[in-house]
Amino acid sequence: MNYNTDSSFFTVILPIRTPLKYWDIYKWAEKDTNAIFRFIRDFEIEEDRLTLKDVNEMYPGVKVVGAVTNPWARALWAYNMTIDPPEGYPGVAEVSKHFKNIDFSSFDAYLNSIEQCEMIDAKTHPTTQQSTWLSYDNNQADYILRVENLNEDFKLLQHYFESDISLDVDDFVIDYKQHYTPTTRNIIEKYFKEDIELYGYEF
Amino acid sequence: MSVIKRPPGDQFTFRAFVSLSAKIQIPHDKIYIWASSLSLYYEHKELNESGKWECYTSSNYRKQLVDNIKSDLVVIGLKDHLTSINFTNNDTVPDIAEYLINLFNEYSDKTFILLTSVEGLDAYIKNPNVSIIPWGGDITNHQREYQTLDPILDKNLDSNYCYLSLNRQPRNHRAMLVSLLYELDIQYTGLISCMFKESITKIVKNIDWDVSEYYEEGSIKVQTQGTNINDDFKIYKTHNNNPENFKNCLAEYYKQTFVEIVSETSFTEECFNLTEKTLNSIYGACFPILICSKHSVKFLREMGLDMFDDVVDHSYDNISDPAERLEAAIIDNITLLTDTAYTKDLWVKNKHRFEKNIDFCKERMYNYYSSRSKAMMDKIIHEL
Repeated sequence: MNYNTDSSFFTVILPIRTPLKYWDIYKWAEKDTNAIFRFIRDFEIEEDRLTLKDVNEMYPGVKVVGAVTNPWARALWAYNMTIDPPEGYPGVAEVSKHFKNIDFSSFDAYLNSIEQCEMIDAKTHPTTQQSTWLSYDNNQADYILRVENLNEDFKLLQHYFESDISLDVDDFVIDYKQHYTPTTRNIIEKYFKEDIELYGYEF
Repeated sequence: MSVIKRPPGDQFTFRAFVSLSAKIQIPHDKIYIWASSLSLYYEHKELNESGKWECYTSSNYRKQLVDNIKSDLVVIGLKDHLTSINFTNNDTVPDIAEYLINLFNEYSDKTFILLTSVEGLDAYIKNPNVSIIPWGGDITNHQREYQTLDPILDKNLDSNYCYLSLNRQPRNHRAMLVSLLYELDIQYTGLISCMFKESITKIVKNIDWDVSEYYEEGSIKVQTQGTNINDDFKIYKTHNNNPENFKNCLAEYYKQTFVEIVSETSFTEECFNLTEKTLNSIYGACFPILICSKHSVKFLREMGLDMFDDVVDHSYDNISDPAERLEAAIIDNITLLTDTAYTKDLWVKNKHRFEKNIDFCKERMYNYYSSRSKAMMDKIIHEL
């Protein structure tokens, strides 16, 4: 199946705390002469972090490109982004307003606290699985990009559009293993069981 | 399938395009395009990969549209109005509609479903191979932002003004309207903008409406006396963000005024695109005098809005001749436009009705457009 034989539109869903930006995909689509006419950018999907179910209701029949991250790597990345946020990202003070009993004093403390932490006015909990965004009932996002293997996984889309334009985003790499203890490793394994099984991740 | 060009804030219609066309189970082409890009006057510059400016005109977009017509059934989602700024009553058909009529004739062996922002387009497009579905005008743009917008229900009752008249893009009916306000000497009770006042006399001289010369005299007064609103033409920082413009700029004008002479985009043509101008007036809680095509007031009334028929004389809405309609709209409502005490008193007494209209626009207006377009699409699919 390619863009000539299938006339689908495409859109992008990224779970919260994904080390990839929506624009990284749309930027590629803007460069490709075929993809540019097929990709739908809807800022409400991004601002509200809508799920596959929401998007399927809003845009029936549209193909969805999603991204997933190794849950252990993602937790460390999210922690680092909070304690040392780039401009425009929420830091510890901002994030702490939305949760009760969350502890950013160390990565260990953070992981231990996510079990007890409660949402005050946040939409998602730190233990919300990525599959919440990318699957429901028997439906899955059509293209799931593993950020660690981004360029290889993205080839499916390049083939679909018969494009030789690369995504131009590096595969995601973070040295997470050394930051985990057996206890914290198990916390992630416990809460992200479905992500680990669905997307084939291991520590 | 192709999204050729989208304007900012079109989520409501774009989603409608995807969901309505998804109902069709037989092979078909889907094409979504911003109608403005099909206008002969359209020009858009973009920086290309090598950092050089590239100019796109209607030829580029017309070619893309045609290149995407492949199947026997073609669904075209056409966002925005079909009338370039040079349309007057001497033209029988709005220029972009004329282009489409020719296109549909050229592809007479194909069936088209045309989703459009324009009401009453069947007055012009009568090709037997075309079904038309109006899916709501640009009044549906920026749905989310408007739904959370604070309306102007707290007005300055010490204001010296009765009415507001906002005129940005140079369109003939706007030039005539502002000239008429000045010629009638009622500019002092209004807050008026005319962002093309330097060229207003030239525009008025070239209009072929059958009217007396006094419009020209009015236009000269506009040029010599100036207007009391003199905002920069570039009202948008990056793109057309109408709710932001309402909050940052227009809200102040709405606080001072109680009636709005809404200078809509369509006027001379039989079909019309209701836009954010009408919606701003509702959120601005002003009695509406709608300078728009014939029967546009009737349309809004039938949709469910209170048009304040006991306050505003909307008889102009039934008049075909553009000059007569314009004059009736103003002259028949002259007290409302000039007697500040009378108008403010009416506004205070009817405040609750503005609130109801605002409430209608937050949800039911969108539901009206959605239900109507779904029902029309179901009927068309049934007949395919």
